[in-house]
Amino acid sequence: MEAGNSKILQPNPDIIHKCRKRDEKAFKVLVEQFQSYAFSLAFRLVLSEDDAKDIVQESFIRIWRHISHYNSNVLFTTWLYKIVSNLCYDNLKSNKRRNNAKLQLADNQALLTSGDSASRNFENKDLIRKIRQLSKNLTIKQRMVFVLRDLHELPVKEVSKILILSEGAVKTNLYLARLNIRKRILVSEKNGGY
Amino acid sequence: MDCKTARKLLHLLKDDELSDNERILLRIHLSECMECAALSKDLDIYQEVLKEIAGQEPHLSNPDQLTAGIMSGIRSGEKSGLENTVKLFRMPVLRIAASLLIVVQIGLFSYQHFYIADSIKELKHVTQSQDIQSGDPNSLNKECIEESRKIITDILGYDDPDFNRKAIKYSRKFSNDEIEDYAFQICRYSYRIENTGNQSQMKELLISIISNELNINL
Repeated sequence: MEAGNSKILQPNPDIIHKCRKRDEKAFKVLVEQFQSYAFSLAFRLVLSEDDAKDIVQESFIRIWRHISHYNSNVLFTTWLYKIVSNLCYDNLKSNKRRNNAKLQLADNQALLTSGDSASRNFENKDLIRKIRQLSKNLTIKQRMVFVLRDLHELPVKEVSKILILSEGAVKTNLYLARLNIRKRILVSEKNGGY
Repeated sequence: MDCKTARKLLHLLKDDELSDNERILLRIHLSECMECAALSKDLDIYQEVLKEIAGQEPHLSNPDQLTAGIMSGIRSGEKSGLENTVKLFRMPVLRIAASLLIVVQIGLFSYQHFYIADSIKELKHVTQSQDIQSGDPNSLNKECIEESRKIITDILGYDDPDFNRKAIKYSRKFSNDEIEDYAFQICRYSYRIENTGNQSQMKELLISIISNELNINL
């Protein structure tokens, strides 16, 4: 069942019920239905195809482990995006801890790794470059709000639930992120487009 | 509305980002302020760029492989948990904390183990010698309880005649093995209680633990 936004979805209650009964076939159906949404969000946040896949895999393992505690009153995608975002946050934070030289090396490696995938898919490489360029100076929180709201196109209310922030805090971070990105776009436009 | 507020609101343009009131006030401000109106046009470029990037969905190569990886991951959940733990202990701070914890635990265990072992040994000695000399079960129980009391007194650093009286009263109810077990429980819990540092609290805890453990009303 779809709830207005193409990325806010709720699986068939029967599937959830079967998953709670540890039905692996039902869980596979759930994974096949939602893994691309999870991947899309993780990719835009961590900007690496391999890391995004690892995060999606770990997210679904956690979902399987805790599905008996899943509250059906909460949208499944809200829960899924929350887990994905938390894992991405850890990934971004651990990247931030590295020193500049290491970070540069890791970024290059990430690009090379992604480059392998990008040789199969040039679009992913192009997307990494664009998002990286835009979100370069954002804090992790601003970046997460920006990706969830402006790239994954989720409503402010959903972003607020996923990141456990007030709607006011989401808007403030969104404002700061957009202000920063707008400046970068204008500079790029002056230099002949980004 | 002032320019500062208007510029903040200009960055929050989507449907659910502004209230109706904010939308109206912003529109009025833009009709009056040329600078903010120009900024509004700048933001159109932002919207166009964003629209293009948001429309570009990341491509997931080999989705079947990802599904297979997830399904295999849920089957080896325990292994994954272990790997995560190992990964966690790669963090230096946790490594140091874990090492310290292990050292402290070994120290506590050794202290507790030898202390209790010594007490039990003494208790066993009394039990055996009494058994050989008299063979009277009541006398035997009394001796055991008395020895237990001594152990408690040593451990806790105080003597409680009331506890002794009650313990002797109930001693007849138990076999030798039970008494030994009783003494063991006393030693075990006394050690734990000793660490609380508060004597009245110790007494209350000791009584309640032994009462619960042996289901008697001390």
